Amino acid sequence: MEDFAMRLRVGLAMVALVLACPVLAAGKDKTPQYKTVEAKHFAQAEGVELDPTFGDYFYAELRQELKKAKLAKDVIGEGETVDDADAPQSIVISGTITEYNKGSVVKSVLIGFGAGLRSLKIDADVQRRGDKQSLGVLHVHVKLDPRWKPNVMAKTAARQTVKEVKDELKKSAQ
Amino acid sequence: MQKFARSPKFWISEVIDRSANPQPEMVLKTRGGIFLDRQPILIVREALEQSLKAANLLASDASSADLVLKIYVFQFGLAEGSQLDFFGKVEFAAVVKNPRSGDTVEVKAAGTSIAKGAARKKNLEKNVQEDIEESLRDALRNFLRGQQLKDAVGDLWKDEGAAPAAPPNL
Repeated sequence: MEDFAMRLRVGLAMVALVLACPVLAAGKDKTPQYKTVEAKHFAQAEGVELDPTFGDYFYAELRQELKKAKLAKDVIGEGETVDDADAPQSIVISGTITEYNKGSVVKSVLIGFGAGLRSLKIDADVQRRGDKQSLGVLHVHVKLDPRWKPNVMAKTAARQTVKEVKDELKKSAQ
Repeated sequence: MQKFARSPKFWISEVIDRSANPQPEMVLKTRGGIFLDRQPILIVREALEQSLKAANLLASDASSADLVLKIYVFQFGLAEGSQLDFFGKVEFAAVVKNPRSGDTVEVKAAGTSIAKGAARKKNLEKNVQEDIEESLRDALRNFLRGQQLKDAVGDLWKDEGAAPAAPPNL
């Protein structure tokens, strides 16, 4: 009998937890701070030897991550027009891939401890569309195993960039 | 679609495949292949016509059109991604021509989309289809709401005394 009561109590607690989850999740939902966000294709600095398709894939990943981050109501494509009324509440993200090191599989396998890793450095600039005021400049550095394709690095870099953009905007809002 | 002060009527004269892909309908080679049901040029033409028609910017025939579009499709389908997901990409250029003056302006548009990978063929097909549809939608939006089209219409349409207004409304 005691066992049954215990099971009942645990069951009720679990039901309460399941019911409470959507309420807690709903509390986290916020309306996006900006109307539109535009990500531009990142330029490659001189000496960066990356495949031309990398830029396109990074751009696509960046837009995907911006959509996921719910930074703005609308993630627009490069070169799209924005209503004049929405311009002060819109941001533009542009940047440059400043450094790319393809790494070394041999060093990575034989030495380990982070040696021979593939690395990518990005400088990004967040601007308000209306008055072109800079809301923040960020530096992203991503390292990855050299056996992975560079496009996997684009995925990680895009995620990291959006995270830094979010942090930078939070800082500038304070 | 962005609003124009005095709406020009567009007509799509031709859609040309410039992808240099010998099998334009084949989207994915692995897993027995995934194919489109029609040629990309037909899909792009139909989608563009529908968008223009919905915005009441499609001319009834070539002779009544204010501006004629000639579309060159450079990429339609999947591009090289990270192998963890599908990278959909649609890229085309439109040559906007004023049939009266003969002046032309080129407008470029591109759309991208990332979709999750899948193990089962059924899910694979579904994800690839969604990915391509999303990238096509993105490319059309990029074209129709783009600053380049706005400038092109402004340049080619200035003699008729109309300039495009700013607010996009898609």
